[in-house]
Amino acid sequence: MNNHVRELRGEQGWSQADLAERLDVSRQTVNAIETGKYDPSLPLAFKIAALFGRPIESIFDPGA
Amino acid sequence: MSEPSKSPSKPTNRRVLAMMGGVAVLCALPCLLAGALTGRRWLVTAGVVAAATGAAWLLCARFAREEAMRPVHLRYLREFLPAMAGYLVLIMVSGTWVPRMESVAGRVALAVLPLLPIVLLIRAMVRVLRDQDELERRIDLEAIAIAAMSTAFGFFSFGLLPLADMGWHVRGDAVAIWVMPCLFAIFGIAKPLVARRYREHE
Repeated sequence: MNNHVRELRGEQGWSQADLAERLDVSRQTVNAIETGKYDPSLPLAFKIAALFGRPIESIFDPGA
Repeated sequence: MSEPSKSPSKPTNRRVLAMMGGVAVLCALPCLLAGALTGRRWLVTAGVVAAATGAAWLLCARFAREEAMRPVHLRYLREFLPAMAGYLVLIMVSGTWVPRMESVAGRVALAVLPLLPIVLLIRAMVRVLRDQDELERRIDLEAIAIAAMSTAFGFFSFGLLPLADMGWHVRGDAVAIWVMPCLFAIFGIAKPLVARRYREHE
């Protein structure tokens, strides 16, 4: 699954650690999501969407 | 959403691992020394296990990032370290006094005494597994599955080997006592390997 978490985090000027603390997850989890190594659960995906104030489908897409 | 707190004095993964590794190595030295002087094999074994654990933690500290430890893991340490210290004290008490105790009931009570902190240890592990984030939990559960299956496979194989009648016999209790250390050791090896699958050019 593709996602735009890294771009959105960059727009906010946050580090991975900043985003991790806001989401109450580890920095490794943020890194794994950004690099596509790990697809977050639905609750975490909704939390990310709420944090960036965007619909979930504009951040995550199934990809090719 | 509130701003993340910036507290540079928070314990970091690297510092905590280095401290735990140092303490384990320091604990190993008197065990090895006392074991060598008194000829008690269990003391030497305890020393070797503590030294190996300490060396592994120091190695992990070498590669760990200097980042603040999450509250869920700090809580785990607050529960894990006293339980581990209690276990070490009680295993010494048990190992020293069980052979000198005359009554069977007393020997049984002393022999199972180190299990009390082990129960607290298991509780701490279950709590951290439940409360950490979803990827951390997945990594831990995969590592536990690998450790459980490998340990079962290893001990089952060891159980089958005597059928070949190779002339050596191992006491059942000596084998059983190594199940839990093997499980933890394989978990410790498996976890960073599993975690590597979720890591990329950080």
